Amino acid sequence: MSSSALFGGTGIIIFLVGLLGTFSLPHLLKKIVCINVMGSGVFLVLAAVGNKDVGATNDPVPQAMILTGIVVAMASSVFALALARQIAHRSGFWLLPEDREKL
Amino acid sequence: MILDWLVVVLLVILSLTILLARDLFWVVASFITFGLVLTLAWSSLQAPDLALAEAAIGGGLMTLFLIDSLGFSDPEQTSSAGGFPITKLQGLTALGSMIVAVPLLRAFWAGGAVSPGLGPLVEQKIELSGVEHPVSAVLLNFRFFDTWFEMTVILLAIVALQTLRGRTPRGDSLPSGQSDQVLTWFARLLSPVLILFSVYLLWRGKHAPGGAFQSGVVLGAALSVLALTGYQDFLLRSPVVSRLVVTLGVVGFSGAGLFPLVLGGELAELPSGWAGDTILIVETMAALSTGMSIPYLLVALQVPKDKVQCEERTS
Repeated sequence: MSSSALFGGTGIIIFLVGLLGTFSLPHLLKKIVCINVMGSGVFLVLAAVGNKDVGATNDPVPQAMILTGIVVAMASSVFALALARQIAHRSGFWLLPEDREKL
Repeated sequence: MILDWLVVVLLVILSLTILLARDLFWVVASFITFGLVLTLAWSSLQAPDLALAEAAIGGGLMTLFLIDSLGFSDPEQTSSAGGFPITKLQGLTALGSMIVAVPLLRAFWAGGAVSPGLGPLVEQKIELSGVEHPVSAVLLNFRFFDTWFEMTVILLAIVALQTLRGRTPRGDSLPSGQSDQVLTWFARLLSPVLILFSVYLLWRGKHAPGGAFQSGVVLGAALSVLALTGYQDFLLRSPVVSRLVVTLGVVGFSGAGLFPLVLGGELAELPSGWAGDTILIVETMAALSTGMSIPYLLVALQVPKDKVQCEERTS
C-alpha cells in the first residue's frame, strides 16, 4: 500500500472519530478538541491526494491550502474556546443549554 | 514504511483516546501528542512546511490555549460531564457517516485516479512568482487571496475575542510567573533563541520550507512565553503601537493586493519585476503581526478579574 493511500484512509477514519466525538460528547472543551481532530483528518486526506509517490514533485497547491487551513483552524478554535469559557463563566457548566437540561 | 504504519496506528489510538477519555486532562494531553505525531505524518508525506506549521500550532500554540482553558475549568464538574450518552439523532449521524466512509475508503485503497495535479504548472511559472520555493510561491503569489483573507481571519478572531471580553485586554490579567526563578531564567534564555529562529524561518521561506506563518508563530510563542513570565511591557506600555503591529499583516496584504489596480493591473496581480521584493516586505509584516497576535489572543481569552470577583460577591 502506498503511503498516500495509507494516510488518506487514516484521515477518513480520524475524521469519523472526530465527528462522533463532536456529536456525542457534551463537554464543550472536548467538542472543540474533536472538531480540531476532524479538521486534521480532512487535512490528511487533502495532503494524501496531493502526494505523488513516484513523481518528482509534490503538488504544492494542496500543501499551501492546508497551511492556510491550519492557521484558520487555530484562529477559529481560539474563538470557540473564548465562547465556551464565557458559557462556563456565566452558567458554571461547560455545557450547552440543551445539554444542561438533561443533567 | 514501518514508521508510516506506526504513525498511522498512533494517530488512530490517540484520536480514540480523545473520544473515550473521561478525564479532561487526558483529552488535552492526547490532543497535544496527536499534533506531534501528525508532524511525523506530514514529513512522511514530504510536506516539511506543514510539519513546521503543525509542530508550532498543533503541538505548541493549541497546547497553550487548551491548558490555559483547563486551568480555568472546574475540576469537579470536568469528571462528571465525561459521559457518552448517544441519542437517536447522534447514533444516526454516526451510522450515516460510516456509510459515507466506506466508498471513500474503498476509493483510496483502490489506488485512486492519477492526475498530474497543479505541480507541473507551478513549476513552469515559478520564475514569475519572485520566490524559489513552490509552496511559498503558491501561498504568496498564485493564491494570494487565500493568505490575504487568512490574515483577516486572525484579525477578526482578535476583534471577536475583545468584543466578547468587553474591555481592552490588559496584560496584568495574565498569571504572573515572576516569582518563579527557574521559569523566569528559562524564559530569558529561550526567548532570544526563539526570536532569532523566527527571523531565520522568515528569510529561509524564499527558497526552502519556512515562511511568514511558521516564523510568525515561533515569534508569537516567544512573546507568549515572555508575557506569561511577567514581561508584559510590550503589550502594556504602548497599547496603540502593539495594536498597530497586530493590524500590519492585513495592511500589508491589502496594500500589495490593491496597489496593482493603481498601475492598471488586476487585483492581487503582483508586478512580475518586483514580486520578490513585494513578497519579502509583505511576509515580514505578516510575520510581525502574527507574532504579536498570539499573545494578544492569549490575553483576550482571560476573563477580567474584577468581573469574576464581582459575580462571586453577588452569588
